[in-house]
Amino acid sequence: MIRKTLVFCLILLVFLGACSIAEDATKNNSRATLGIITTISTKKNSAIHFFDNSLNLIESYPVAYASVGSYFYVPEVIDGKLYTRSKSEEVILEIDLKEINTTTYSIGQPGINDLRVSKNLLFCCNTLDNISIISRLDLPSKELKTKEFKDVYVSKLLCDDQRLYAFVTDLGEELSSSLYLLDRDLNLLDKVDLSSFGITQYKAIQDQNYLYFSNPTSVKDEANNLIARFNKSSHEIKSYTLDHTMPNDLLFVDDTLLIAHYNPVTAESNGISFLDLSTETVTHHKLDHGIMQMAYKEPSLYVLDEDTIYEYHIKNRQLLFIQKSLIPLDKKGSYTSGLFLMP
Amino acid sequence: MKKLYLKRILATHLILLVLLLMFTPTAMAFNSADVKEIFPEEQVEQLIERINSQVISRDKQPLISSRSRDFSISMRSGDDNYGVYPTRPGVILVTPDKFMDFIPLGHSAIIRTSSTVVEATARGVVTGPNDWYRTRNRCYAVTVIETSPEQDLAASAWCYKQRRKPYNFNYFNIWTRRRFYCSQLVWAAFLDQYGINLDTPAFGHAIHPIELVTSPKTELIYVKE
Repeated sequence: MIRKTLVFCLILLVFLGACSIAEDATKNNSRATLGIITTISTKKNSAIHFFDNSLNLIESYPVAYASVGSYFYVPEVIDGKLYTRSKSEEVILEIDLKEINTTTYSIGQPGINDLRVSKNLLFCCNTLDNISIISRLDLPSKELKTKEFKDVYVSKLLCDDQRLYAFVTDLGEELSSSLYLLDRDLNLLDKVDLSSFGITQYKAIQDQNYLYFSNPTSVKDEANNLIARFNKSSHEIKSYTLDHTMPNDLLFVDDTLLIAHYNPVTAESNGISFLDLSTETVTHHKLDHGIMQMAYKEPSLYVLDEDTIYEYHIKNRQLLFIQKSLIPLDKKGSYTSGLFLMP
Repeated sequence: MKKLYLKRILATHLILLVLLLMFTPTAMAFNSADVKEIFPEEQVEQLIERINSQVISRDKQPLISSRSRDFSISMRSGDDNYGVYPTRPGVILVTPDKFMDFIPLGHSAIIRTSSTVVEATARGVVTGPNDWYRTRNRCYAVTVIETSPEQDLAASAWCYKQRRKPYNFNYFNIWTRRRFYCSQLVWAAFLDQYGINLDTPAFGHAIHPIELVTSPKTELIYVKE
């Protein structure tokens, strides 16, 4: 009897932990080019707004959670599903962008910062009591595995088919930073010191061979102007010095790396740098608005600011303004927390 | 027969326990009635009113910032910001925002580095991005008057290094260091290191986050309304 009850309880936990919430059945988002998350920290009143390629708002879908997404992190879209988190409610949200179904996963960790998804595995990180916890959730089986890393703050995760990369900062009296290389079972393979480049790296992107990461603050916690490239095979790191400080969001556009100069803490901004990866030349483009996050779908560069989405075209390494549109932030205390392209 | 009956009782209780755990939000760990009794809403509102008449001072150290002449700041339409949002370690952040709009507890945190904050939550001491500029509807930043920037930095490191410290639901027991609530953690950092007591006579020994703003030992450097 007890055994049967335990089995029942286990099934109930798994079922409720990953329950699907069917939302508005009207799905007009098939014409959507991009989506924007808006949220509130004190109310279960978030939303996803879908825009077409003329930046017309097509549809807004309510998401009944608070603190959804984070403008420090680009939302993850994999296989037609958006993955983000509700920080206050300690859940991962998997939103099917076609059907607009929300599935929630409980990781059992508070204050989840970044999360990434690769081949049915979801990785996320949080820092509790001076210990960072990296969690791995097998999405089909719901199997959860965690690993603790003492005395460090994990600011950013990236993963590929073989490895998980964690950008960590020791926030003790002497600041320092490292890149942790882990296998997909969360075993630590190597640590690479990043202190000479900066600390608290929040933005990084990758191609097959390299990780590129922004270093907006130095090891002295002062404004910095470095981008660095980590070779996944040799572990060599090459840095690029920019003319402007606070490199933040990164984006590949063909053979060019776009670098937003933006401080997400204070919303200070100073345009976008274009780093030509073949010639290593840098050109800078002044913008009169913030660059919280960027996304590119040829020929358009979409730039998210506080309450506005901007569209530019890139021609001969020049930015041509096309149009802009306001994001509905009609609820007191709401803010934008993520930009993503529709699959 | 009796054994089977006992097993059934036990099984029923187990199911009820699981259901209770599943449907009890973390936030409900705060007993709303108790919190309202300890921190009466009217008294909290009165303290917030007092903040409106406080002068916004310049921070004791130049801003650690990306700011240069060609940087611009963007903000949401409708937001009123006074002063400069802080990034200096050891600056105290306070919000009067009610948790889920009904618990008048507010919240406080301390800046650890320019882009990180440390805060005691119901689940322990959590570190995350310094995102209060946007994520809080209303926000105040204060600095302790008598400390140096280096001492503020050390206070923030003290908060960050608290390990395995669960939430302190006994708001009057501010002397324990085995568990913390948000404003108690910040208060303890400055009391234990420098003997500076940021508590005020309001709410008895319990420390509401707003007291960190109204304390005569702190000065206001930033307001978002």
